Amino acid sequence: MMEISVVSTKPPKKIVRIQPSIFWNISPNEGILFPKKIEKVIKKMFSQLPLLITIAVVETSTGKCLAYLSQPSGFDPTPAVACGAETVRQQQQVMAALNMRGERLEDILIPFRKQLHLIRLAKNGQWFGYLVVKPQDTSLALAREVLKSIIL
Amino acid sequence: MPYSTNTPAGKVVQDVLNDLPGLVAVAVVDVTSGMALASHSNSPSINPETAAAYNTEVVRQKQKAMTALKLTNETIEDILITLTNQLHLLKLTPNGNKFIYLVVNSRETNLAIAREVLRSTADQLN
Repeated sequence: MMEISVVSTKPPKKIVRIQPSIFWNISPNEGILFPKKIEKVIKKMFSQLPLLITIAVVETSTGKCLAYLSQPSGFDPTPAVACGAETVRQQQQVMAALNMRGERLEDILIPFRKQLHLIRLAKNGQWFGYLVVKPQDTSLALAREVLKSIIL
Repeated sequence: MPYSTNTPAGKVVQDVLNDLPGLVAVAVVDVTSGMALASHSNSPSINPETAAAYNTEVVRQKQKAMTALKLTNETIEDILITLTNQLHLLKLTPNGNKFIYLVVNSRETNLAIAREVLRSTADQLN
């Protein structure tokens, strides 16, 4: 007697990965940075730290978030980066008040208990990258090194 | 990095430097944050801060591997990495929250002396 085995004909389940996309907040010809440069920074950060929570590129003087990339489960960093810009401006005031010559503010590290926030200023101080990661995914020093290598 | 010899980490770096003046780089690193507490490099090509950050990942991954294998009664004492011309030694403290990172030239340094120096100075760190 022939044995007939019935094979399920359901198609295999496709696993669709939701790639986070970059949210833009500037008009194409505006401002202090080329959109291509912003995109490069954000894409490079995401490729080196795929588990990051948020990476944003922010204008220092206004605190405006030029563009950001967040995990699907993440949050809109706009209020956080505005406060970050305020922190940066305050530190720049400290530098001015103390007449620091030949000094440059490079980065600010804010380790919270369950999140690490890192601010890395560009050489000209006009914009900065704001990175939020979980300490389980990457250590503070590693996040700092990665940020340093991308935003010189 | 200029280090203060008033701190335990700074003292360790100074002791290692005194015993192995021909070393390439040395750093005392905190495992949780990956930050170097004190460091010194004799070579412009090795930035001890960067090295500390990435090598912390090595230590953490190994600690994760041990947890996954349920090796709870074992601790990592040291990790020795042999490169073409260099030796990288990572000596963990007994409680595993700091390590000394040492880079030496394989041809110029006696491995036994290097390991002994690390073993004795790691006890100073808590």
